[in-house]
Amino acid sequence: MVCHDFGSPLRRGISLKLGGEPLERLRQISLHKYSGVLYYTGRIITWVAVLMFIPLLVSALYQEWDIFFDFLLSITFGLTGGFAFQLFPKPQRSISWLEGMVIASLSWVVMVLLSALPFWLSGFYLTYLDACFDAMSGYTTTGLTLVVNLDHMSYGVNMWRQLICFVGGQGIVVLVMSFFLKNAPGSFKIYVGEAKSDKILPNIVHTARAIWFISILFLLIGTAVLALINLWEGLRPDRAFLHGLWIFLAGWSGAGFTPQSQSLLYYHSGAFELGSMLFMLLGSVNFALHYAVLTRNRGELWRNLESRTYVLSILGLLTLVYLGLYRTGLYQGAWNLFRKGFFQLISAHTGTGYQTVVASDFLNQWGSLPVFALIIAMLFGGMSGSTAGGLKMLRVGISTKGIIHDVKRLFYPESAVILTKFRFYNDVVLTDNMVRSALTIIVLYILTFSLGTGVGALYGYPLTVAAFESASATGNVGLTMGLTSPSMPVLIKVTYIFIMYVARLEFLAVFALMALLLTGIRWRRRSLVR
Amino acid sequence: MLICRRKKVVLAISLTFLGWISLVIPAQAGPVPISELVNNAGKWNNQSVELTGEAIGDMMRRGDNAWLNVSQDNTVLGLWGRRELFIPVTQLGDYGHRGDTIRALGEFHLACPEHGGDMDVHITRLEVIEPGTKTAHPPKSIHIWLALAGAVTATVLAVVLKVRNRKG
Repeated sequence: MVCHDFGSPLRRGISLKLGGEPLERLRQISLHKYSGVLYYTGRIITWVAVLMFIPLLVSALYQEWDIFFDFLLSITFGLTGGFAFQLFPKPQRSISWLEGMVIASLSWVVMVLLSALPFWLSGFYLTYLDACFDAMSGYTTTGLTLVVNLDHMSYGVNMWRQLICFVGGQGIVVLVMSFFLKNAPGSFKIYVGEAKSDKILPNIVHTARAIWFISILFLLIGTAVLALINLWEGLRPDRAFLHGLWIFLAGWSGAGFTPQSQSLLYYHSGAFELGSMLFMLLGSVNFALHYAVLTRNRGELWRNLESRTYVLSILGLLTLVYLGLYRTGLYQGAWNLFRKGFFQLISAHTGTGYQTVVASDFLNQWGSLPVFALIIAMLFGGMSGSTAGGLKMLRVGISTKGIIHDVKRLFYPESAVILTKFRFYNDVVLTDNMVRSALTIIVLYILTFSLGTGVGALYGYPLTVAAFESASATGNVGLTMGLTSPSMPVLIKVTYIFIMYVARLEFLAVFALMALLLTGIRWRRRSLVR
Repeated sequence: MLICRRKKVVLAISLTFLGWISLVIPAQAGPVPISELVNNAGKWNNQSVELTGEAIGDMMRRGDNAWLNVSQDNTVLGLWGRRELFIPVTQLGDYGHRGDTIRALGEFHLACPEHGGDMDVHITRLEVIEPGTKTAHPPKSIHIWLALAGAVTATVLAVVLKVRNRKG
C-alpha cells in the first residue's frame, strides 16, 4: 500500500509504505501544513456556536422551550466541532496567503452548515437544504429566503436570522480576529480572504476593531431610532424594540431578512421606511469613509472617487426608475413615487433587498425600464469596504476611469506619458494593473450572473424573472419577483447558494479552496495509481 | 299576438335589469382569495371586495384609524379602517397563537394614493368568523437528549484542550 500527503499545491507528493517512521514524519508534515487551517476554522466555529446564546436567551425569555432546546443542541454541536478542530496544533509561524483564503472560505462553509441546524430543527424550513439556503443568504447578507410561515416564526429563530446578517456583514472572521485572535500571525491574509482589503489603521486587528466600533455605534443609534418610530406607529413596546433591532441588523448589513413576510410593506409607514433607508445607505458606505468623517476628514466624502461614482450611479439609475414609473402612472404624486421608486432603488443599490412593493408588482406593474435599472443597481452594489455586495463602486469607478484614460491616449502621440489620478483616501495614479484587477472581478460577476440566469431560464422561467433573481443573488441583494420560494427546483437552490457564496467572498477565497481540494484529489489518485 | 308582445316586453325588461345588476355587483360572489387580489391586482383595483384571512402580527393604531395585516395561504394584505371596526379582533397570529379569522368588506387598491402607493384594502365592515387559538409547541425529547449528550462531549473536549494548552 502506498500513502502520501494529501495535496498541498506547494509540495510534491511523497510515496511511502504503510507503517514506521516515514509515515509518522508524513503525518507530522500533513498536520503541520493543515493544522493552521483547521485550528483557526475551529476557533471561528466555536465563536459562531457561542453567538447562538443570544437567540437561546431570547427564546427563554419568550418561553419558546422547543426552540430553546433546538439552540442548545446546535450550540453543543458547534462547540464539539469547534473544540475538535482546535485539537490540531496551533501554528507558530505566519500562515500563507493560500491558507488565509482557505480558512476564510472553509469557515464559511462549516459556519453555514452549523447555523442551518436551528433553522431546520425549528420546523420553519421544509428541508435541511432550504435551511442552508437561508443560512448562506443571511451570512452573505443576501436576504433571499425559503422560509415557510414566517409570520408565525418564533422570536428566537427570528433573532438568529437577523443576527447572522449582522455578523456576516461585518465578517465573522473580522469578529473573531478583533476580539479572540489577537495578533495571530498572518491575520491580514485571513481578513483579505473574507473579501475585505481596506486597512483603516496600520494594524489589522485595530482595523477590525474600528469596524466593529463603528457598527456597534450605529447599532445603538439605529435601533433606538427605528424602535421609537415603531412605537409611534402603534407596535407593542417589546415588538417595537425587537423589530427596530432586527430591521437595523439586516438593513445596516445590506441583508434583507425581515420578521414578517411582507418585508417593510408590513409596517405601512413612510417614517419607518425613511429611517430604514438612512441606515441602509450608511451601511453601504466604506468603513474607511466613516472613519474619515468621524476623525474630521470630511473633505474625503466629496473628493473620493468611490463616493462620487456612487452618487452619480444612484442619480442616473433613479432617473430611469422615475421615468419608467411615471409612464405607467402607477404611483400618484411625487411623495408616492419617492416612497416606492427611490426606496426600491436604494434597497437594490445598497444590496439590502427590503421591499415595499409586492413581488408580483415588479413584473406585472412596474414595466421594463425600472426593472432594468434595478438589475443594474443590484449588480453594481455599494462601496467597497462596506457591508454591501455587488461589483462595488470602486471597481465601477476604476473601470470607467480606465476607459476614459484609453480614449484620451488616442489623442496624444504614442511617446506621450499620460497620467490619470483619482482620490481614494490618498491621491492614487491609475495603473493598468488596477484596471485589469477591477475588470477581472467584473467579468467573473457577469459570468456568475449569467450562470444564475441560465439556470432559471432552463426551468422555463421568463428571462426577466430569471435575470432579476440572478442579479439579486449575485449582488447579494434579496429583492425577488417571486421565483425564490420553497417550491423552487433543487438545482436553482444549489446554484443560488453557490452564487451567493462566491459573490460574497469575491471569488478568490473560494477558488483557493476548490484548487486545494482538487489538487488533493489529484495527488491521491496519482499515489494510488503508483 | 298581444300575449306574444307582452312576453317580449317582460323579457326585454328582465334582461336589462339583469345586465344592470351584473355591472353593479362584483363579478365574483363571496370572498376573493387574497392571492387572487395580489397577483391580479390590476383587475381588482378600486373594486369593492370581500375577503377572509387570519389576523397576524400587530394592530397598528394610527390616530382614529388602524392597520391590520391579514394572511391567507402565506399571502398577506394590509387592511386600513376606523379603529372601532377592529374592536372584535382580540387574538393576533404569532408563534404561540393562530389569530382570529376575519371577514372584511372594503375597497381594494393596487397602489393606494393615500398610503404612499401601498397595496391595501380600505375596509367598511369587519367581523370575526372564527376566534383564534393557542398553538402548542412542546419540546421534542430527542432534541433534549441530544443537547445533553452534546453538552457532555463539548465539556470533555474543552477540558482536554485546557489541559493541553496548560502543558504548552
